[in-house]
This record gives sequence, C-alpha cells and structure tokens, in this order.
Amino acid sequence: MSDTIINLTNVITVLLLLVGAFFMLAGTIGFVRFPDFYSRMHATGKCDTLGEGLMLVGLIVYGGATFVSVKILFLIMFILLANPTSTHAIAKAAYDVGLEPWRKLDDRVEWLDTGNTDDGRDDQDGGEER
Amino acid sequence: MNLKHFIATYIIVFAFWLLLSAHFDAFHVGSGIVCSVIVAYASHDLLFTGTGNHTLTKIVRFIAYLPWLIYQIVLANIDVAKRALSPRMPIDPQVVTFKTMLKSDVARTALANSITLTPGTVTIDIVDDVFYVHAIAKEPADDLLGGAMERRIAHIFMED
Repeated sequence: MSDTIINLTNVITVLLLLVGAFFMLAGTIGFVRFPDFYSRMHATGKCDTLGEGLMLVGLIVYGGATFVSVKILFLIMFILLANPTSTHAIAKAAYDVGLEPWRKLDDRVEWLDTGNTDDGRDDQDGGEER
Repeated sequence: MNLKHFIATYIIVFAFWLLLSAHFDAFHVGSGIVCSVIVAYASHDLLFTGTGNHTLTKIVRFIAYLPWLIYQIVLANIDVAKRALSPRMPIDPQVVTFKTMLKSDVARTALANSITLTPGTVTIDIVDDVFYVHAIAKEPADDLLGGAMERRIAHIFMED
C-alpha cells in the first residue's frame, strides 16, 4: 500500500516538473521568436512565473509536509510578487527611454509575414536598435 | 510609535523566524527573539500602512481572489505558449491606456500586478489615473478594457 502512495507521489512530482519545464521552454522559445522587447517581456514574465511555480509545487509534493515545503511555499509567493513587479519595472524603463513597441507590418521583421525565416538573423536585434 | 503595530509586526516576524529556522533549542529561539525585536522596531510602520480600515476583510477578500488569479495565470501561460509555439505567431502588439477608478496605492499595485500576470497584457506605467498597458494582441486588450478585473480589485479594497 505504501509503495503505491510513494509511486503516486513520484508520478505527480514528475508530471508537475515536466509541465513546469514545458512552460519554461515555451517561454524561452517565445523569447527568441517574438519580434521586439515588449512582446519578449510577455514570454519571459509570464511563463517563468507558472513554470517555476509548478516545479516548486512538484518539489513540495515530493517532500511532503516538512519545514522545507513551507519554505518552498514562501518561495512561490515571493515569485508571484516579484515576477510581475520586475517585468513591469523593466518594461517601464524601456518605455521611459522611448523604445517604440513593434506593430504588425513593421518592416523591422518582415520575415514574419513572408514565412521565410532564413534571413531572420539580420532582424533579431531589430527591437533593440531603436 | 504605535505599540499595536509593533506587537503585530513582532508576532509575524517571529513566527516567520521559527518557520525558517525550524530549530527550537534555546540558542535559536533566543536569537530569534532578539532579532525580531530589532526588525519589528525598525519596520513596524512599514507593514501596516496604506490599507486604511477593515484590514481583515480586505485580507480575507484578497485570499478569496487568489484562486481566480492563479486560474488566470494558467490561462496566460497557455495563451503565451500557444502564440510562441504557433508557426504563424498570431501577435499584434499594441499599447492601450485606460483610466482607473482605484484610489489607494495598494489597490493600484494589485491591479498592475494582476494585469501583468493575466493573459496577454503587461503593465508599463501608471501616470496619475491612467494605466499604460502593453497587449500582445487585440483580444487581451479588449478583455482588459471590459474592466472585470478592475471591479474585482475594487471589491477587495472596498473602493466600489
């Protein structure tokens, strides 16, 4: 019986870690693919919050009801608070400097519309050059 | 110095110390008491400020708000993951502005952070009453301008 419970705990832990890792991966892919600074903030600011959160919940499930789990719980709360705040701070800094948000049909990254990604290398820094 | 605030801060700080240290011998608890007094003295006027009256009601309402917020965070992540992984990358970023009815700093901070955490929107700046929000596509911007979230926050902080 206790073997079953341990196995179940392990399965839940692995699932949470995998889903968390998937969101981190999606966020990173978004960070590379999105055209400009602000949309990249969307990718990193959001996916990291849930990705880290899910992985930490997985660790709590694995650790059970210990003091370490409580500390991890506090860690999740701090991430929930700090992540949007820092995202906002970075975005505000860029906006104050005068970085223009990318709009559709902006010629900085026209390969997005043509579907031709071969010359994407030239445009990767387009957002930051302003 | 407000004694009530000092004692409340002291209890919170000391409970936090016990939680993090997880040692209950004389040395650790003793140094916890000393440190908590110093920290509580230095920061007793920081913790209880800006919330005004009915603090307990606000805290309860805020905790009741968290499940909805977490649900929104999950939606946000699925949304961003979809846009990031989709070959066509359906994004149409735009900056939208709207005027808020929230008065207190705490309520505005809560709204700003909630906007950043929910699908497709990031708060850039708050100038006087106006929120500047970067939306990654048209639908999230329209959702935001519907004002559902602002009403929830207003309800929590009793400004409706």
